[in-house]
Amino acid sequence: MGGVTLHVADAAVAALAAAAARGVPGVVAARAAPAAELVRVTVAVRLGDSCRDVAEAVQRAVTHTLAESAGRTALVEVTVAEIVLRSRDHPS
Amino acid sequence: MPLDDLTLVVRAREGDVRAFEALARRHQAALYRTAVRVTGDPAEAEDALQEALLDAWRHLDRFRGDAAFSTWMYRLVANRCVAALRRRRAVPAGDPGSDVAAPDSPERAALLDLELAALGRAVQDLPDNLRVCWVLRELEGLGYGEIAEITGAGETAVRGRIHRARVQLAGVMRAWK
Amino acid sequence: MTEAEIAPLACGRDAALVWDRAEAGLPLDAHGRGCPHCSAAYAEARRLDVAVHRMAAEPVPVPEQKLEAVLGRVLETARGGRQPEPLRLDSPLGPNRLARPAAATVLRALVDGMDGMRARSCRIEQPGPEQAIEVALTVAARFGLDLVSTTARLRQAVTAAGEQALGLPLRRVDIEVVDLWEV
Repeated sequence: MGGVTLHVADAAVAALAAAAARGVPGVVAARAAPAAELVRVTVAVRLGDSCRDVAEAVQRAVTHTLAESAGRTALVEVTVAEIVLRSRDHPS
Repeated sequence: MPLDDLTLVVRAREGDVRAFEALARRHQAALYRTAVRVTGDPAEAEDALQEALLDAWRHLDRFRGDAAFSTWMYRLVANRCVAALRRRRAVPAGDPGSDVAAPDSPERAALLDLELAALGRAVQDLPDNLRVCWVLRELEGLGYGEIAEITGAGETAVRGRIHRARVQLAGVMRAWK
Repeated sequence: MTEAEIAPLACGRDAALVWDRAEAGLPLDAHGRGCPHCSAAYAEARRLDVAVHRMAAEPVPVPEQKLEAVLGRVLETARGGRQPEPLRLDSPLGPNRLARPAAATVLRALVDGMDGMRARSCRIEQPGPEQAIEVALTVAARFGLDLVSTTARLRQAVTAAGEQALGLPLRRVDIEVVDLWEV
């Protein structure tokens, strides 16, 4: 990459993070808080999948996406806020 | 599987919002109707219901399983209705909607409508504490014991209030005729 | 006069009793039939009662959409309120969190899935330092159920499925049957 400096605003980081999280199997809904150093992602997870495994998968997906798309190295903290018993219940 | 109120309350108390939603859905229509009858105003009834539901969520820990949950909710709604009545200053609202059953003549229909409207106004003119007891007994059909629980007054006081309400209403209707 | 006292009729009779009889559709007693005060009160009560019955019979329309909106606002507030301390989920990339009510939903669903059982309270502790949790459940059970064997099976199911669905070791599961319900 030449002499281009990429600056991505915190809000964009949040959008990227949430999108990455939604792509992880087991995640029903996700949102992220705009932040510089620590990216907080909140997810709703389908019942049955291991919450811990899903949380870790989301961390990896978000870390990867932020590094690739935004050139950011950020610490990612996932909160599983809700377990959805039936996907159609969730007011996404 | 429909869960009983107590199970839902215990769950809601521990943060289960879905359980609280189930409780609200189960009871809200009845609570709303009561609020309309007490306040005489559908918009105020809506507000009273919303505030009462929020009160319920915030204070679920105060509900002891010995009385019925519906009684406890009625109390919260009645409190909010009385607060709304105190805030209101303007002319009391008329009877909310008069869908009277088909009468035998237009004149009779007009008279029946007017009578209900007059009674509605008379109910709105009752002092708050008389009005609440009277509505719960005469329109909602609740027993003295339950009304005592809802209002926090003793059964004898409830009986006294209902009687005074009846006397006042009869006086107004007598003058109307 | 205190709130409870009701002024008697001129004949000395309790006015409220006369009114109650009128409302119930019961006729006056011997005294009442001959007494102008009781009769007048009775007639007035009957007249009012007719109008009141009509008023009570009037349906109060329930605006479904408005109540839906009310509920929506209330639930939004409920979801946004102060949350209890979440549980820790260890990860090589840094610790994650699991909301207690979410974990409780999982465990309750496991209990509800057992025939004849309904979960009530679900308290979760994570004393640490490791991420293992301790669970205390209260349940309502169907009358006639073999409680000893059912709670033993429940404990096993909750432990196994809980660990699988939460990803946290369940160090302890206490189950207390607090209520029985009849079919």
